[in-house]
Amino acid sequence: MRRTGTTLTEVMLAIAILAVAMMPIFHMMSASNTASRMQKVEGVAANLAKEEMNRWMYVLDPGNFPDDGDEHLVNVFNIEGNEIEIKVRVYRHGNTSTNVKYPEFDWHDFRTSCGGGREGNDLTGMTHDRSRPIQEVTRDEDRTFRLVDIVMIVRWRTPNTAWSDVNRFYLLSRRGYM
Amino acid sequence: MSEDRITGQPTRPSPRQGIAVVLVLTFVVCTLSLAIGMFSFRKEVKQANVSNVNFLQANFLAQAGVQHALLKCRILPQEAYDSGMAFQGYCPLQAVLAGGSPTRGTSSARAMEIFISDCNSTDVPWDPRISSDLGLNLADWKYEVASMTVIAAFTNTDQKLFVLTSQIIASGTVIEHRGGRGPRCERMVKTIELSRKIN
Repeated sequence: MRRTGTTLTEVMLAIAILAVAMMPIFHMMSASNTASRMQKVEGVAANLAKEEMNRWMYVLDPGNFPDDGDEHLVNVFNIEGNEIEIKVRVYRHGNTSTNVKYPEFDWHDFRTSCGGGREGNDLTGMTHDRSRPIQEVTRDEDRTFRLVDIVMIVRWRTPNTAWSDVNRFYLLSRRGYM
Repeated sequence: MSEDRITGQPTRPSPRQGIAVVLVLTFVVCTLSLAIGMFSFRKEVKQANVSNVNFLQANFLAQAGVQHALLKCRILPQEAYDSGMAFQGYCPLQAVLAGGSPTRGTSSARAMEIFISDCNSTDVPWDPRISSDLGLNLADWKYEVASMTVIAAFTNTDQKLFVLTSQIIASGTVIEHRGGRGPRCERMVKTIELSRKIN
């Protein structure tokens, strides 16, 4: 009579191997699944941040921007249970003594120079590097550079996770207006 | 080789003996391959996401450069226009009429170079509060106007305007430590018109 099938020892050994091997694998798969979800949210967050930053750069009136340096909550988007939070801080350039560089020309009588005369022959030598504070050159009432530094803070989380510094990025830009 | 307990004859081991362990090991190897595949795919997606965010950051820095140049053109319109005309080798008060052949001198980019030389985040630095409030290292966020050229000049006699078509090229560079990537640089090109009224 031939023995067929598997012994109890063999089955026990198989179950032990299965248990030991599968635990870290399941853990890895579960972590991978959570991370994939997080990354999907990050992609959506990047798109939303881009749209929002464009709005702050080109659409919104700088006169209606939040107070200097204050953190302003733009929105908390809830997408498929995931939360994406966008905040903005604006910093106005208030330094009236910021120097502005500009070229100064040794212009002379245009009537003699227009025909490729003295000016045309040595334009580089007749152009000088000058610098003056913004308050002296601007025609603006504030006498400042109308520059606003815009910082966007974007963070996100999935339903089962807490807010974390890892899941966050910044966008930084500058807007000029008069 | 074992013996049959009834006949006492030696028996050959069953071909199925040990199959359970083999099956389990095969299953474990397959599952492990799947998990490794998922893990590496996740890594790729992560890199793609970081790269996408890096692009946005560098692109908005380049846009800051364009905004800076545009503001300077508004603050110093005449200097901008004169620099543009010098770039083309024309006298700033010279009419460039369609069909005409205006005399052109030796063009010089010197004035334009001076004009854009402080359109960057070094000469007009970011607000230091950004660093103190948010912990950002502002040395990692830079922009500059790389060049400003004139691609066309003409005189609009109907509107009594000298007009230059100018192209601003700005670049933004960011170093994002998240994901351990190096500097990311993006360029942005903006075409504008500079004009000066004919009195």
